[in-house]
Amino acid sequence: MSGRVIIVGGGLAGLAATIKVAEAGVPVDLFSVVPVKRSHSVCAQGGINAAKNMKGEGDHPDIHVTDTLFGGEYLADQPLVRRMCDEAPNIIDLLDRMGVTFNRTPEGFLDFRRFGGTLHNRTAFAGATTGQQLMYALDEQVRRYEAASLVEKYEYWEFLSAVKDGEGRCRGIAAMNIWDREVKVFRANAVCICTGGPGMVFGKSTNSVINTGAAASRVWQQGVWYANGEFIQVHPTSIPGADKLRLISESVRGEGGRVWVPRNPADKRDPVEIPDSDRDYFLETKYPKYGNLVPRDVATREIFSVCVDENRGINGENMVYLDITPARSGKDGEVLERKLGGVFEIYRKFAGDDPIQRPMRIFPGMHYSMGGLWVSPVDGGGQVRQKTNVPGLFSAGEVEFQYLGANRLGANSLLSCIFGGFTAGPRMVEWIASHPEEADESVYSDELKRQNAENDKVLGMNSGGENAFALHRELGQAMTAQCTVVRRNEGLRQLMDKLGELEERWSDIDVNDASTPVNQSFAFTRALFDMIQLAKAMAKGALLRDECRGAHYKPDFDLEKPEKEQLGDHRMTDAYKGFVRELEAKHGVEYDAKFKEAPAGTAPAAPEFQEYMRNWVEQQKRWSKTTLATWKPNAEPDIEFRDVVMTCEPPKPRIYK
Amino acid sequence: MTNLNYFLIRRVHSLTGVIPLGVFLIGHLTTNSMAAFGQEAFSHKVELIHSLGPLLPFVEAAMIFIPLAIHILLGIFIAFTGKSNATDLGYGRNWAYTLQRWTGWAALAFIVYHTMELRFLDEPGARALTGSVLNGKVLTAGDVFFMHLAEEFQSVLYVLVYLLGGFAVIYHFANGLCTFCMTWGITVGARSQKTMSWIALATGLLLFGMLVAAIVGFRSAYDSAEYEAMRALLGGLPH
Amino acid sequence: MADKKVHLIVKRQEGPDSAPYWEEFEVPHTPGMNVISALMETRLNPVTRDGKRVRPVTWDSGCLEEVCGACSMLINGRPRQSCSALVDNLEQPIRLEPFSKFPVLRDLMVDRSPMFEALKRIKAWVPVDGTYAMGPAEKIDPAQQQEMYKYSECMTCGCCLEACPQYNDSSAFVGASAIGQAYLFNMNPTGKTLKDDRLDEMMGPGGVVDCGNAQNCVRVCPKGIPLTDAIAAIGGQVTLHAVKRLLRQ
Repeated sequence: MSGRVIIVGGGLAGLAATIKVAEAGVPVDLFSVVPVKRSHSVCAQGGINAAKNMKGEGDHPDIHVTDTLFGGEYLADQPLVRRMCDEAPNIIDLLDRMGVTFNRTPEGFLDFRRFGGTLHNRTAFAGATTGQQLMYALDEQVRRYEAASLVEKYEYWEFLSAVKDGEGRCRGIAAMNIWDREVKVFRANAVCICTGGPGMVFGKSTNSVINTGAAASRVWQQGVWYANGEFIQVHPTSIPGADKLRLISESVRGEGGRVWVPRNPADKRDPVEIPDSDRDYFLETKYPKYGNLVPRDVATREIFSVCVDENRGINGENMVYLDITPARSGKDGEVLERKLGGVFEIYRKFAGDDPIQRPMRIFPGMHYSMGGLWVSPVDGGGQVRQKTNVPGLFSAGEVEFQYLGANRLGANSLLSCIFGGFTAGPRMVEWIASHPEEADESVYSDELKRQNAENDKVLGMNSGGENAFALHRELGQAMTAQCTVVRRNEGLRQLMDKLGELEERWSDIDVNDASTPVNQSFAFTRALFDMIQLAKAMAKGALLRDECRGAHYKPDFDLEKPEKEQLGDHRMTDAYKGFVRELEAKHGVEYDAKFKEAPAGTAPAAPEFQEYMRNWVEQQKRWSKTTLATWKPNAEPDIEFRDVVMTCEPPKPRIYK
Repeated sequence: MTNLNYFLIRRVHSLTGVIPLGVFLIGHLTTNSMAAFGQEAFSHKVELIHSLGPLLPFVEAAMIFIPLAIHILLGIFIAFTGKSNATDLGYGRNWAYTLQRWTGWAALAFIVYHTMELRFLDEPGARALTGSVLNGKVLTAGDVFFMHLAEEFQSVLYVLVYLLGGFAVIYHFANGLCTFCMTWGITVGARSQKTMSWIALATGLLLFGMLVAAIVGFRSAYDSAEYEAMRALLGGLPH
Repeated sequence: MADKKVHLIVKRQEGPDSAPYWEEFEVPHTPGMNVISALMETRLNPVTRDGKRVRPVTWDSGCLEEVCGACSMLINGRPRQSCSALVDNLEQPIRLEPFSKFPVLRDLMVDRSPMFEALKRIKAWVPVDGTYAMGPAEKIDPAQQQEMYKYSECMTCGCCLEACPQYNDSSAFVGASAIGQAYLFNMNPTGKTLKDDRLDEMMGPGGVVDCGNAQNCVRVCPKGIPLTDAIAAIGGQVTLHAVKRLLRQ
């Protein structure tokens, strides 16, 4: 077969796509800003979901679909989620065949454990490093194709832009060798962007430092839509390091960990010397019933608001204590060590302190972006496409938006990355079969000129007074304060202004290094511009979306819930029934009866609940939509909203009785 | 060179260090440690070896000189592929690795000196004296060597050379036993390797004890009048 | 606390062919900081201890959680990950150097591509037939899975090679990480179909036979991988393999 494929990014999605393309006999050029084995996918700890029903619980891909859609508050296009969940068991088997060291049952079968957001043991895992193990298995298969000369790796090459022809079709890429700063253009009949998340836009996050989101931003600036950018998942408990945030499992709270801040924020005493009378156990005070065991999003918001809104964090910094010391948790040190040893190890290694002796310092950490490059859902045949709105340009993995909706279920990210990659591969092979033509040489030389000019411009930036790394800190602080856990329109408006200001100040950066070999200062400065752009897509989306959904929490627009006694079954309300009929007509489907009819004997809905459901339906009609951001030079992005494809099941309200 | 040949060469180096050289070392020190029990015991052992008669040079060549030459040549090649860093990373086994190379060089120098002196320079004299009668007793080669060595070990420098040279050879062998077991995949786990290093240490101490016993035996049995009489017999030993 | 400082001595080098030189930096100390965050601090205001404005220091890093293997360097002479090197546990001044066994690209960043080439050489993969749905894999005994898991945590960081006296310019030795991977894939039910190929490599120049048993690898491995167990086990496998080869010639 003639034609070449370029894949940018060597994490799970990029490697999965590479394997599929190479397997079809099509040569692949694989670009990565780091050796692919060091991609951020290695950081995933928990596991990968697949409804294999190995524990006799009657689990089924259908239930996996429902859990995923519900967890993502119905913002994911449903046929895709269906495909992914159906394919998940096969993916697990394949990974197992590739040698992933999954944990085993005593008999030697794959072991599965429970994760958040489901009632089933559905998560396959390999110790506490599942992401690393999956990464290595795919990396090894790619190395096999590399040894067979079907894959050529360009490691330490940074993606700069897609090469687009006069008709707007993608014909290759421009990339820069980080070692010697040389820019080159590469021909391809199809290009796939698999460059992962944008954690660095938030300064410090749980992401790797390579996750700048620059590649996504660069193709966004070239016309690819950026979708659902406002949906940013924040993990409630992470260790705030000077360099990054590191995850601390929520199991610490489960074992009796107590969250507190000193009553006097200026209290400089060693925490073990602060008596209970001088401590504010704010979760226990505010939620006497659940105490420290409030759901993860509530915990996240409360910790965030104590630090950011009330400025009561430890030493005025964004940190609270998580106290699991035997004196406060009431648990025996040895028992704790046995149950939480792995978590304690991480804390000891990176915070250099012993959680058994002294309370941990934690803060919610930006963790994952549900949003990303827009890819079209399904084609006429119901096949997932992974195709962006720029012809010839595909995308897969965290960098695209489509499988997770408004929030991500734990252990679904590894699945969506691999499934996305496995899907993008064959779609690209089909595409190049029908688009074998070569583009004109001038298309490439023009792009090369443009990129070299851009590089020269940045290298020449040496008269201003700004430091790129300091400016990045400011960007991160602004984004974390206004665009993570709690969002308010006033703050978001200020954030948009701030981003405009940062963009202006960017031109005043002194790069302070004009040399050739591994010029990180220069490369970072270039990427910083793109980070600021992408931040605008996230902030603007958050500003316009006046509701609460998934990870997007805007208290000013929260629907007021009736009292607990007045809550009922949503299927008993007229508003919901009408809504479902409308959806069925719109999508030309008939949903399964279980989504529409409450079991016989269910109590009729109270008037207050009917009222609540009317408002809820209005909210769904207004906001069950994908946010699409289009980049504008020197301005705020244009935002439009598109309907979500709901062919599997109707949305269901979040009601906990 | 094929991979298999390379492998065989490396393994020959490893193997020769234990069999036959290690076995020879044990036998050699056993023989010499008999000096602690006096001239009779020592001479008896030497006679046993000499009873091989005309076969002796062939046995020596096959069991000692050829394997030794092979072990030395390959060892020199191996020594040049390593760059010791024990001063930066002072872990026990890293020092053991470094000492293995240092003692290799020291053992080489010692063995050359030791063999040249006793096997090639003194041996002809000893043979010449064999069968002579001293104080009414017929001398054997063992007797001649015993008296000669008893005299040599009166020199503190000579004792020092043998203690140091002997230590180098014995350390090289004992640590070699440990690495032999690792290389051949006999001791795989850290614990078995630890156990093996204790066994090797015990072996090394035992061998070193034998060396010291021999030296003490020779030194304490020195009878200057008898030695002078022997020298007078045929105008003395070379040097 | 507020004016506590961290004193860094960094070995710098403009490019692959230039001569190295040293520069000293002083940054404010923050509780729990690691070497990476001290380096990050120098970038905010790249001025040396004696007040000279210099270009920012270059180093390699990724996850900062000790799973990606990127941020290896010599810290006070010891090869380790700079993300897990806490300043408070180090003697000051803290001496930072690039690995000496790999070509320096700039400052603290080196080219470790030989490590990935070695993985190709020993065919560190499971030769699956294809990626289509072909049903489940063979069952694996949990004890064996645990044994395999230890080796599958190797992140190709290069600490074992940097520490190894046998890994240097005058030797072709592949080093402990690749031997560990050979051992891992020889254990896998499908991976072991390539066992003979791997052992052939392990017999030749640069293979396991070039190991000098200094065992530094296992001491410096940040993941605590029992590399010397793998080396000895592969040594045993190679012995049997050679006998087999000799008898079948």
